[in-house]
Amino acid sequence: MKVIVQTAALAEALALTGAVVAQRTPKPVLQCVKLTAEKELLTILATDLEVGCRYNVTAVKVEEPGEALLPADRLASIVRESAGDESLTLLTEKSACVVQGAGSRWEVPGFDPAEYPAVADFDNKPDIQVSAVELVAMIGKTIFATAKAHSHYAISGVLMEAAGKKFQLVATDGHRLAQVKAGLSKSVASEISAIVPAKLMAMVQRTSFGQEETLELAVRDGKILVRSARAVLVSSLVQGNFPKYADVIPKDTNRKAVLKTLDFEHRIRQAAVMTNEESRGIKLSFKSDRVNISSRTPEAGRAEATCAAKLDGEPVEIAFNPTFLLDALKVCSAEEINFEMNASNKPAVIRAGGDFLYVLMPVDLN
Amino acid sequence: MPRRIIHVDMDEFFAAVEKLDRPELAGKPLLIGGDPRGRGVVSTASYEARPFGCRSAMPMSTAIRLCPHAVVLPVRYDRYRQLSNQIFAILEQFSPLVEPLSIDEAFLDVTGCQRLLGPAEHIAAEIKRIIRQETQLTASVGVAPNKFLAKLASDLRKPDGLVAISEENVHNVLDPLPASKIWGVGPAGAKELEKLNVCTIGQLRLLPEKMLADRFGDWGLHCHRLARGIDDRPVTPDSQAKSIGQEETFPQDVAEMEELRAVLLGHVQEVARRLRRQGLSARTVTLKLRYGDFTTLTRAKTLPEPTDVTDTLWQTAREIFDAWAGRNFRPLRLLGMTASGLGGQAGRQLGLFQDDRQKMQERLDEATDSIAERFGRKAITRGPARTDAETNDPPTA
Repeated sequence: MKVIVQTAALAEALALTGAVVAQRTPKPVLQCVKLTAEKELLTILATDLEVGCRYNVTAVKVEEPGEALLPADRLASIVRESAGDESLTLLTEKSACVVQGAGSRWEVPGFDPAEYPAVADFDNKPDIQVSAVELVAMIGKTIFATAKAHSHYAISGVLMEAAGKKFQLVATDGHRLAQVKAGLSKSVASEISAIVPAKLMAMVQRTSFGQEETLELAVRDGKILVRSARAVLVSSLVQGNFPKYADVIPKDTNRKAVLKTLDFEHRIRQAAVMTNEESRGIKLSFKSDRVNISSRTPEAGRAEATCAAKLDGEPVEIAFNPTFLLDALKVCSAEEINFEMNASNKPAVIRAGGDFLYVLMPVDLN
Repeated sequence: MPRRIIHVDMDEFFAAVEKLDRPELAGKPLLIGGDPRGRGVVSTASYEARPFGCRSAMPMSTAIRLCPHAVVLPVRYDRYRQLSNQIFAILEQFSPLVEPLSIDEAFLDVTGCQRLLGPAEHIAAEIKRIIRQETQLTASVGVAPNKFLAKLASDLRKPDGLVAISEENVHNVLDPLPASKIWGVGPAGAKELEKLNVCTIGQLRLLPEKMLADRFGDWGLHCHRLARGIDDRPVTPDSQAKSIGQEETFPQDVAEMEELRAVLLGHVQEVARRLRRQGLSARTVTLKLRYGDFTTLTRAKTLPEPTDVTDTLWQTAREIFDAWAGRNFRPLRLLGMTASGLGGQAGRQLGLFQDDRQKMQERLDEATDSIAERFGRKAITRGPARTDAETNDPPTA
């Protein structure tokens, strides 16, 4: 193999593929990326056996087709330290791979490319077509709510559902639930429901797309594939049951407050100063025209902040983990939110911007 | 005011309860524990069995070989728990500061109760009298200015003893005792001290502190403090505790995984019950593992949410135990379990989904607790531990 590749294009490719490569693995080949050069295209493959990425670099001149397997972090370091060079030359020599810059040369003992696991390719019709910008925004509104800890529910990923032209993402960690809806320009052929690992969603988030780019999604054989102009991302789906989330979205609420998002967020941060690991709750006391936000920790002290709010319904006191509130306010991208409640021990709902819904359970006040 | 601490230790507790329930067993050597056909161990050997060399934590088959005419009985934890609850209720009448050490052992701080109830020695005698009157069981009681001395005192005249150590006679009592009586000095530690010609606590006390510190570090200082009769540890009732734990030192190192798991489950059940009794939940589970050479490891795991559910605590404890056993299993001299990161119900994050399994476990705990408080449990057959080897009667839980 011998290719001359634009350094910046290679750097961009490695930023994405490098994020897939397993950090700790007993198998050295899994710490590598696989390079395949053919027909004026350099394909970079990475996989941790769960998530895979196939990235096409077109800013390349293939002088001799071939394959190479290289440790991802070494290659990334080389590229990082060669930012001043317009291009790099990659070539294989016997058992080593050589990278040449202007006035620099690295020789990396290569692995056998045949040892690298296969990464599924996008070779079918897409099931869903969605704007890249929109999907990235939707992921941002849900991914934070996925469960980090083990649960007997399959909630370590984002539930992706599509039917007709309706498309939505749902994520929950058992304490709060985020849901975001969108419309598709083309109807899906059949209903889709799949739990996509948070890692793949995060990969999609960090991939750089063109403003107008459309992503193609395919779900089959327990896998999801996402194709953009440059990359194909693939992942096994999360197996298991997603909880019946529709049941926990309150149908009716007897109290509704309207709040300015930025002001509310700011006041919550002020009140949260006096929370700590043991006493994580802040108390919201809703009055007709405001909400008093307070926190109290025996050792640390107490904090109080007031935020304007229009309350429709009886005054109520309800406590929440401030992080759960802030997580939603940060991403809802709306000037105003509706905050709906029933009682201090019942789920509350934040609605914002018409597409975003967030259900959160309070902290016990007693 | 100098502190007055009482240590109450029930005499051959399991055996005593069996004799209470079946008077015909009085005077006979009893071995209470697992089935000798399995890999059961002795939980309690009655005083009559001890001259034959029978000891707790010894394999039951060995104990029977040593004392073939002994009566072998299964562990009836439910019944012991019932009497234990009765005994703790008595202790709590004397002082709010009662720190349970195990099912049959507790510290009381009666420093502040003496004006009301009389001198500590008198309180100790009353405790013994009322326990005997209400349960017909005997306790050995020690009275002293601190925990170390109180526990040592209760051990001096077993059974049915009452020994008081005052600040005046502390050296008279301590000095002639072997150094191994010091909490933290086992066979290995005793051997180290022998190299310095130290056999008794008195000899240890007279060594220069600096020499012990240089040679043994913190352990040396700890031993020297105790040898001088100094121990500042407070008596902490569960309700004020930062952590609730239970541990057991085995007379001989235990190499059987299943036995260790059974011991661990026993600890978990006790700790969980004590948590619930105080309305507390714990976030962190810590195991303490000590090898025969006194190397001590602690392994902890923190849960995403605090819990008081026995099953959740047990799953966590077992994960830690199995992870340890899978990597560096060695016979254990001591196994302990502690729950920390304690908090009450207030401030607890509520869950979004009705978790049926969790609800079921909570109901199960509630039921077993209330049965235990009122009648004693018929049989504890939770999980893989306390196996058939330990319970001869059919499980009825």
